[in-house]
Formats: sequence, C-alpha cells, structure tokens
Amino acid sequence: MEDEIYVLIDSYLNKELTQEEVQAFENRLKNDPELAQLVDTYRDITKHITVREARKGDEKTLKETLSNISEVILKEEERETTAGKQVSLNRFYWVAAASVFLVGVAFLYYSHFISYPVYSEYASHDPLALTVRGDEDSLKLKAEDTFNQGDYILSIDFLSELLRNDPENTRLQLYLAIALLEADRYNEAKSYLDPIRQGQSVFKDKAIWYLALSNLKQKKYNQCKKLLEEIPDASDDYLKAQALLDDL
Amino acid sequence: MKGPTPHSDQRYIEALLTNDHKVIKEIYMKFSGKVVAYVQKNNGDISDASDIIQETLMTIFRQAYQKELVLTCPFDAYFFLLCKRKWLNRLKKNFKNEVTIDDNLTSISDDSEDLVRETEIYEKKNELLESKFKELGKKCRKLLKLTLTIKSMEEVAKVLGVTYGYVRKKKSLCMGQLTKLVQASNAYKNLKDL
Repeated sequence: MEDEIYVLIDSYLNKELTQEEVQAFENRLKNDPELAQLVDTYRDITKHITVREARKGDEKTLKETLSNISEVILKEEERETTAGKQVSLNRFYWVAAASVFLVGVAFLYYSHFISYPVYSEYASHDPLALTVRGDEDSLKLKAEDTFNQGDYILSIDFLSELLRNDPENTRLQLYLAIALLEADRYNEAKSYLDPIRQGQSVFKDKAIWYLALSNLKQKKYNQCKKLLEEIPDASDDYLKAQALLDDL
Repeated sequence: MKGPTPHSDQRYIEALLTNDHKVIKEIYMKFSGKVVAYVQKNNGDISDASDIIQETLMTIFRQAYQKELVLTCPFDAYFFLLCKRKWLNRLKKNFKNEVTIDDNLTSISDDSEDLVRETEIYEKKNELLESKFKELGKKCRKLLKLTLTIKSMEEVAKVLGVTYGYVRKKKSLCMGQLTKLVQASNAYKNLKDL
C-alpha cells in the first residue's frame, strides 16, 4: 500500500498519468496536506539528485581550478608571512652545504685539478606533491611515486597525461620539465620552462634555476651563468645559484 | 514576472559556472585578502581561510548551477559575508564557546542579507539531501542516479540487465525510502519553516 503511493507520486511527477488520474490525484492533494508534503519532498529529492549528477563534471573541474589558483595566490602570501622562519632554517642548511662545498674546493685545490661543476651535483629536486590527504587519483599517485623515486622517464608519461587534463597547472609544467631535463630532452624541457620564467607564478625562479641547470648539463657554461645571475636574492634558490656561480 | 536586474558583478558568478580561470583569479586577487585578514584575526590561519574561500565559491557555484542566482548587491559584500559566517560557524562548532569572537554571528544587516540567507539555506538543504542520499544502500543509490540521469527507464533496465517492471518498482521504493529519511530529519523540518 505504502509502496504504491510512491509509484503513484512518481508517475504523477513524470507526467505519466491520464488526465482523469491527474485530476483525481490533485483533488487528493488538496484534501491531504501530508500527501502534498510528501510530493514536495519527493520533488525536491528528485531535483537534487538530477542536478547533482549533471553538475558533477563541472564541479570537479572548478574544484581543481580553485585549488590551483588558491595555491598560487594564497600560498604565496603564506610564504611571505612565514619567510622569517624559513630564512633561519635555510641559513642552517646552507651553512652545512657551504661547509661541504669548501671541503670540496679544498680537495680540488690540493689535487691541482680544476674542472667545471657537473649537473648531478646540483640536481636535487624537491619531491613532487600532487595528492592531498585521502586523494585517490591513481594517475597523480603514479606521477608522484615515479618522480620521487627517480624514475623520471616513467614519470614523463604520467605528468604529460595530467597536464593534458590541466594544461594551465604550473606545478605540473615545472615537474614535467625537470623530468624531461633528466632524460636529456632539453628542447622540450625548455618549452615548458620558458613560459614559467616569463610568467608571474611562484615557480618563476625555480624555472630560471632549472634553465640554468639545463645549460650546465649541456656544458653551456656562459648561458648557465647568465641565468643564475637573474635569480633574485630573496629567492629560495639564490644560495644554490650563488654556490654554482662561484663554482663556475 | 520579471526578476531583478543583476549587479555588474554577476560576471564573477558566470566565471564560476564557465570555469573562467582569468576571472576566477581576479576573484582571488580582489576579494581573498579581506577574508584571510578576518580569519587570521579570529583564531585561524591562511590555510583555514583558503578552505573557507574554496568552500564558499563551490557553494555559490552549486546554487547558481541549480537555479538562477541573481546578484543584487556587490559580489564583495555577498562573498565576504558568506565566508565570514562560514568561518564563525566553524569556530562555534569546533570550540563550542571557548573562543571569544569580536563579532555577532547573527548580525546580517545590509543589502546582501537576503541573498546570503538564500545561499545559506540552499547549502544546508543541499548538505542534508546529500547526507540522506548517502544513507541509502549502494543498489538504491546506483539505481536512482541512473533513473534520474538516463530519462528512459527502458534504457536503465537494459544497462542494469533487469526488467522494466523491476526498475519501475525499485525506483519508487528507493525514492520512498529516501523521502522518509528526509522527512524524518529535524533539520529538514527547520528548513521548511524558513
């Protein structure tokens, strides 16, 4: 009995009843506020699920857009406000790095062996982090895993595919460029790095640093130097750049 | 009946609907600073503010998608008030009454008032229906999604490999179950009274 009323409501809302049936049902609605409310709720729910399914794709796309933009605009602000903390950490890190560097220089001096720095000494990449807690996007996970484990050639495929779905994502562009650079595909790497260098994203300085490393790897030392000099002293990559400049 | 004329800031709402990166970036550039400052002043940090902004924009998008959302006031006022009230509600929920807030939660008192209230009611209703939908069994959810996206029940029956009669009956049963769940919830009654 109770189930039948839902069959009836469904037929009514889907306009599947005959004219007489509609008339009879609407008369019932007038005299039965409880039934009228049931029909209202039924209609509400139907609309909710229909719209929910229809906007699913757009909703996902917008969410990604917001995350990316928020990352660039708000995280930059956060970086600026916490810059104080980072400086002290960075300083410690670089004092340690500089000590290692000095030992290296001393070694070179005593061995009377002068040579140019090599790419591999400087190519340590920040880990790629694309997923957030609870994220089960398998493509993102694969890209992260392969990149962070140093399987750059494999990661190129995953990063390229992610970028196809999200062509404006600067982080993906940068990491794909790094992977390409590792694979000696210099021109392709450059094609991603140049626009980032021209742009205003948080990855601007990183792009210059990697363009410099690309030249280093290709033994184009003069171009490498010129790029390193472009990195501003407020940048995270400044000390690395200065160390490499000294080395050159 | 002709609706109200939209404010020129309506373009921000259009941008959310069309995923227009350039204009969405503009929303962040122009309007996020105020929200960040407010959240930071009231026991939060940038990352909290970022969540609040994102959730608010998603809510605006959902509402605009479902029914026409005509902006009758500047976007700034509407957006800021939504973000602010969302953050205060969250604080209230997380800390009960432990934090002091330099503001009165119930005060919405400018021209964006009606619009903000409308959006908040929409959001609550959306959340409620969503949570009740999730209480249904897996089979019911799948069947309802299919019958409401693929209009023809014959086709749904074909997709599921069952008979038309079964789909027809099962849909009404699942909808009945969901209708009962929704009607039994106090939150729904309260929304209806608004």
